[in-house]
Amino acid sequence: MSDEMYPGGPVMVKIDGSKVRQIREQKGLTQLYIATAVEVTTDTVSRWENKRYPSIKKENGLKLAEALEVPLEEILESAGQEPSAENSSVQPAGEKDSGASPSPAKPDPPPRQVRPYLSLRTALLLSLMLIPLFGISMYFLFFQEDIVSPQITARRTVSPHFIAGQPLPVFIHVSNPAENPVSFILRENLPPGTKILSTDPEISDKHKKNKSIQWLGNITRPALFLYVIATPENFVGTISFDGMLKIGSTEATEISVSGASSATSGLHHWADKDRDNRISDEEILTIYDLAEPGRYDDIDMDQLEEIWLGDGYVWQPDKQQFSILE
Amino acid sequence: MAQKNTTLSIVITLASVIFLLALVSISRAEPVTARLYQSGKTMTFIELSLAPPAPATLIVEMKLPAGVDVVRTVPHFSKQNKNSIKWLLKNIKDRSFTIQLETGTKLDLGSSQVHIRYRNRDSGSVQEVQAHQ
Repeated sequence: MSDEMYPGGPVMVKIDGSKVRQIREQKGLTQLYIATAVEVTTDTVSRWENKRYPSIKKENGLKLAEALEVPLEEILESAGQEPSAENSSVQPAGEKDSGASPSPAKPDPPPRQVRPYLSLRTALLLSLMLIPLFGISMYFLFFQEDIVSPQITARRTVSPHFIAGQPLPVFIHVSNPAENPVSFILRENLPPGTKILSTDPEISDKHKKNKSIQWLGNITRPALFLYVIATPENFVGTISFDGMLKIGSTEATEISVSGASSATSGLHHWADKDRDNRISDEEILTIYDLAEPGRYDDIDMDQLEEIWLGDGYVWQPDKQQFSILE
Repeated sequence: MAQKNTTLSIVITLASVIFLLALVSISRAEPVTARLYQSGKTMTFIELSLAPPAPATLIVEMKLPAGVDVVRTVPHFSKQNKNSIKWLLKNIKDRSFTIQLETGTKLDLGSSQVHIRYRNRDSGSVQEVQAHQ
């Protein structure tokens, strides 16, 4: 009926505060008397009567009924009588008033009320705190594009196919996230049988009868290194690339050039990524993004553009030229 | 009640995060936007606006209604088919760029479409945007 077992807590009963007050007044008892009998403060008794603590410990309910000289059932809340919302709070652990004097001079600790807006306010505060955090993270994400991974990297980009005897560009992107210049040596071993047509920037050294090329200098920002090679016209097969980047002067670090590492001879233009005998919008945009138009003499951009403008191309090995379909 | 409040708090916090993310994405300008408009009877303009990280190369393709006579374009188009014209714009350094198109008769903009393709410098993927009128 009015007994309740709260999880992990004592047995509680719901008392009818107005009945308690009515019986107490009928019998001429004071709140002080009741408080002394039940071993609580007069404030607590007052709260019970004012329905601020409709649920109390059964132990205290029995004491209260005894003090009022009525059975417990008489002061319990009638079945179906719901406490009003404002009085629905449960008396906290302080109800016992352990060792408390019944004197009203000693106030009870303020009742701990569950305030639903408290957590909402916390959520709003958290959200407000997120704004500057977001601002800072977005600043670094979008406007500090130079601040990237603290690790220096070198990545090779080369088409997986080429036409024997025709120029094949090899791009190496080196990124240096440090603000200070870093000395470096970038070395690429040329695939056997290939000859070097051009480089950009100019190479610092050409070793061992063109078997490798290297650049030497200082790097501060991301940089692009390009070299163009060609195999003999009768070459058939796959060529492999490898290279390394050495950085720093006192404690030199050496890393391998990552990215594409081989290319196979065939009948498709190196820029024709999907080998459909056309240069699509995507393919020409990619090439123009890699190699600034007009900068590299050995990359025939005019020819590339002509193929793009046409409806397709066919490589003619006997003439060593492209036939563009209109 | 406590569980309900916790759920509500999580919902509010998540909503705030999503709102902030949306705000950031909106506030960041698209690298390329375009506007198509007319001036006079026979002049049509495609106005391109670029914002960092702006591409240096663009392909602009304009689809024309049938029977339109293109008198000239500035810059000169790269390719012309039956019902379309294409420009390959290279080494663009300015923040805005305008293509002029002169036609023999007034062009019906409602039947024309302009698509701009470029390579996004951040993602490396090719993007396509349409010019608004």
